[in-house]
Amino acid sequence: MNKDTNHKVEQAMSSIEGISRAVPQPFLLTRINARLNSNETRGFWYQAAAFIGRPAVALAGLILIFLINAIVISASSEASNTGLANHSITQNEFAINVSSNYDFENQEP
Amino acid sequence: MNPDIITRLKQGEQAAFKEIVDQWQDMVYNTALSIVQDESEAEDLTQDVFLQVYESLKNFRQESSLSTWIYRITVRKALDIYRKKLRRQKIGLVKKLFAGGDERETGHFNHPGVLLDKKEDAAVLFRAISSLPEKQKVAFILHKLEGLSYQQIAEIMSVSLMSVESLQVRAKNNLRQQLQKYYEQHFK
Repeated sequence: MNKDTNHKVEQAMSSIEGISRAVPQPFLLTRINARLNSNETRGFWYQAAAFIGRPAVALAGLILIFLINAIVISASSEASNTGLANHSITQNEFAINVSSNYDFENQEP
Repeated sequence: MNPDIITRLKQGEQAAFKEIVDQWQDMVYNTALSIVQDESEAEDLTQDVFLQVYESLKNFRQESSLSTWIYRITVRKALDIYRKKLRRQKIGLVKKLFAGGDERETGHFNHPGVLLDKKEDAAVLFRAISSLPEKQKVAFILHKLEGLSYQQIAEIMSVSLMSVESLQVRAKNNLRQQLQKYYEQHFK
């Protein structure tokens, strides 16, 4: 780092010495109260929508929907498998077969 | 500060809230402005901070002082805004690459509290401050621009005193490096 650059760097580093605090525009409290009043008059549905709109809540809702779907699909596929199994058992026990023309045409004398 | 102001605030007393705003508005605004480096965003953020103070007061357990609590809210919200700005800048840069044109935000920030003869140098310094890692930025700003002690900063940032000291050293080193790079590029 040459002398000139060094000097500029130190000058920049010390440029905030003696800095005073920035102040907001006047009547800040008036603006805050206006926002407070408008928040308080917003109805239940606005607040509900604001709650649902939060990313964490929306994500949790999506995951819940996927889980419910997965459970329902899993339960219905188990039920159809159970139904098929029951059908086979019933068929075997009562020797119920579906007859076809082949059976009729090829009956043993 | 009146010790029962928190009790009065929790009871919803408007005069107590006015006292809080009057006492802390400059602190909140100055901290916010130093982090986000935009006056209108700092103004909105200041209002947001006090709205949160008003709405969250029932949850304030007085484990820390009121000033520490308000500083924490301010820093957290300011960093959220700063991150959103960063994302916008990145999106702007991508758009620029594909669509051409200059979408990047390149404004120089002039802190209104800087002495007149130091404004130019301060603008360069604030640009360097903006690109510091978040914890270093916060520690540096709270110490140099808010005048807080390392102990106070440690309470606000919920870190140890040693961490604050380390953050200050690293922040200054980083700033010097960035400033050196800047002046070498612009003043060959």
